[in-house]
Amino acid sequence: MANDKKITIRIVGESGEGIVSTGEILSRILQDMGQRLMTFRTYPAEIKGGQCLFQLRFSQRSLHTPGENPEILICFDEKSYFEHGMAKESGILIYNSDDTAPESTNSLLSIGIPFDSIAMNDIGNIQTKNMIALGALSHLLSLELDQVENLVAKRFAKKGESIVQANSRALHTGWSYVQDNYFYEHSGIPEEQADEQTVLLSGNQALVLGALAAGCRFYAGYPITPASSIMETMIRELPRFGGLGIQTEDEMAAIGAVIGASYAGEKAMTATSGPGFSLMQEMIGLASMTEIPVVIVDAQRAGPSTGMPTKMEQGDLLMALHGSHGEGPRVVMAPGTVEECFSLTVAAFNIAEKTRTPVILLTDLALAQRMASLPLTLFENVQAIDREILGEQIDGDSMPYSITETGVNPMALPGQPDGMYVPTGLEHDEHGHPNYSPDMHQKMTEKRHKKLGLAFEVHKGFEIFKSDEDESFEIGVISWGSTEGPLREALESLRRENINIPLMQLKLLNPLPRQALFRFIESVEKIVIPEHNYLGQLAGMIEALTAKPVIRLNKVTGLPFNPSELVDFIQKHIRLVPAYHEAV
Amino acid sequence: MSANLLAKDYKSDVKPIWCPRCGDFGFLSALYKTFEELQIKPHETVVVSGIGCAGRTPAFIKTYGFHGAHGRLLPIAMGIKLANPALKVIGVTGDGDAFAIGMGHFPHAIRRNVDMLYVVLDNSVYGLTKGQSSPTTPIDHKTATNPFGLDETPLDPVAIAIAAGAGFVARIFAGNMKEMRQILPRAFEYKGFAFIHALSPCSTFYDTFDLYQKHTRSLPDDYRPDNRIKALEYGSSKEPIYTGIFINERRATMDEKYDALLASVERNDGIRELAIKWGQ
Repeated sequence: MANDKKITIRIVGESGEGIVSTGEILSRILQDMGQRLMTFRTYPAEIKGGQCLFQLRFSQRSLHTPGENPEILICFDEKSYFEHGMAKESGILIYNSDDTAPESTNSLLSIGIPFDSIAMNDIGNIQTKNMIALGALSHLLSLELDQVENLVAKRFAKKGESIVQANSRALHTGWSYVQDNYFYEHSGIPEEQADEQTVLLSGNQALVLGALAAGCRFYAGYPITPASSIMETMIRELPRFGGLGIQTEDEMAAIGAVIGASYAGEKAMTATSGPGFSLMQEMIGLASMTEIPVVIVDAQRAGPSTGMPTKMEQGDLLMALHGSHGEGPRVVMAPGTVEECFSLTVAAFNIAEKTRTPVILLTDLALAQRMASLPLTLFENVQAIDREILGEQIDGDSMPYSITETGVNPMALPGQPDGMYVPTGLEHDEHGHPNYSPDMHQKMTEKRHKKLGLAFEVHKGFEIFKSDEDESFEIGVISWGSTEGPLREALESLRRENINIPLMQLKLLNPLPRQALFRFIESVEKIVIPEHNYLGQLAGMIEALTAKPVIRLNKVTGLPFNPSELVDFIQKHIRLVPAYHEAV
Repeated sequence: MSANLLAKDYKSDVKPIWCPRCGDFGFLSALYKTFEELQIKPHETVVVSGIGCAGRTPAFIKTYGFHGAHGRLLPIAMGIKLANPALKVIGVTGDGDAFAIGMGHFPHAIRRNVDMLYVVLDNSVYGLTKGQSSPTTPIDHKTATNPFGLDETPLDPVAIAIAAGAGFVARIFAGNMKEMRQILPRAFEYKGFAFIHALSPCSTFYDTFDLYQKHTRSLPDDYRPDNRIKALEYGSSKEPIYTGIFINERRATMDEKYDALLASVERNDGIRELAIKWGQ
């Protein structure tokens, strides 16, 4: 029997103090011990200075969120202590006693460690503060110190032997400090239940694996937070798959190269964030018009303009759906979890290839950088769909844009003797020749839109989480993107109080799975849509489609929803407001 | 396909939209003839363009093509070439597309040395949108958008290409068929980024035909295209305006470098193994 205990650890300090590396090393060790993890980080846009927070949560079961109030809180300075408050009443606080002197805390155990003086006087390197903390944590969690030491040594091997040794000393010193000065009842970490193998991956890593598994062999991009790691990883890995990735001079060049490569036969992708996605809009229309399959990732961050480059938001939904002039059909998908960063990326390529249409994948900064434990089976037996290529049997008169039943034609690839054609952004006839006759634009616009329906042959476009017994509900929640995790956790906790609220998570935002959506909406009295944008971009769409008012919950703080705030909000709307008549 | 292809075999069914006496006709004719001379394989050739009068070129040629978005010819061409290096990629567009909206890509295509021929048909005016100033409109020429004749120094595309390090830089005049027929085959056979600045007058909005007849002159017989300083001197001369090959130097191309890389890396062990490598 797997233990259901979930532990949350939060590490806070100045950016540049090694907060993230401490968190990552700890995550890696817990992963090795068979725990399921989910992590969260938030940090300033600058390289050094400002507050940095790393949170990890672990359990023997899969997690929906990286947790709220931590069981263990580590603060490297007073600011962190005051801004991030206390650990839970049952929790443990570790603070920097050189810097902070909490008068009283409500935590079960407060551990003051003079990080600065130990690092300076005993270790002789101020940078080792985080390793002292890691040593202390290792004691609290009864980790094998050898294992921690090995992992740390591996991670810092490139920095030279003296750094590795200083880190080791710091780890031991932190461990001993807790051992010698504090007593507490030890609960330890449950042993691994070897049910399935997992891997700990970030959203961006999972997305890259999805692209490679789907057969993506060309990548072009331009540096931007939080999509840069997709580019760096693709450039590094693609040659090993016989493909290549490049950094271009701007985002218009990136998507231009991607369109060119796909026209010439390679599955191709670019990834960016809001500002770069804005620059790509015209070219999305070109891909749509010329019917060249491409995948575009927008890892959303807070906008408009440069906005908050290191904070999450869901502000680009309407741009993804409607950006670019005219009506250029495109498919829009949104993974809700790290696992879906893999599976929906595969689906995105499959849909792009099947429909010869641009597919936009909307992730966000929190999802891109979150790490989660994924079952290894996820990466086995991936089904990749390839575009239909003009066959030998088709003669030289075949038309590259024939009006077919599905709207899709086989693609000729440059190099094929009988398929010569010229894709153009101009409206064109079935041969691809420029043609502005009224009938032609009507027919071709219809053709391009008709293809989108094929997306449902690859992915049904939604998932519903609800209790089996009930058919109709007072409140139903609709969501898209990374709000899925906190919502599932919130609704599970409401269910424990016998409040059953179904959740419909939309994975395809265009085309929308309308039938399922209407059925879901019929089954509920009130619709709640929490979104990380101010206007309620999905809420507005649902209202327009159904003529039912939606209760909105809009959070644009740059931080993801906490399950508890979702619980509070939903509870406020249970039988307290008349149905359909209040929008918040 | 083994039969000898004639210039007319490279003509598509689409008739050019250009005005009578447009310089682009002269270039297109030279291009068809060059295709015949070199027996270019239509299905292994991709003519990429941007937007504008010159941007319509691919539609008139029976090869593969791509009529892209305004200013984005070079990235699209690069994507095509990298995806399938066996293709011969030719970019044909105008001065507005190349040197205004698309100028940001020009030095980057040069420094990457994308193996392609890039011909910019320069009429020093926006023709399709009816007579506005372009980046190469001379100072003394009033246009629809420069009615007061305010000075905006024109760009010198040949000088820019030479300074940016392009391996092959030439200028041709669409009114000089004989010279185009000499230079085009050499540009075709050049391995790397070959840039041709083609003076191609607009018969409707800025007819420079006589002007170029009078002021262009072929490079001296003893000119050697291996000296960048000399190339700049001849390339940027205004009187006369030299035509010919200013620079012709061989360098490793982008696709050659990637080929070498692909040959040298270890092959992947599969997605599952990569997931384990990153995640355990």
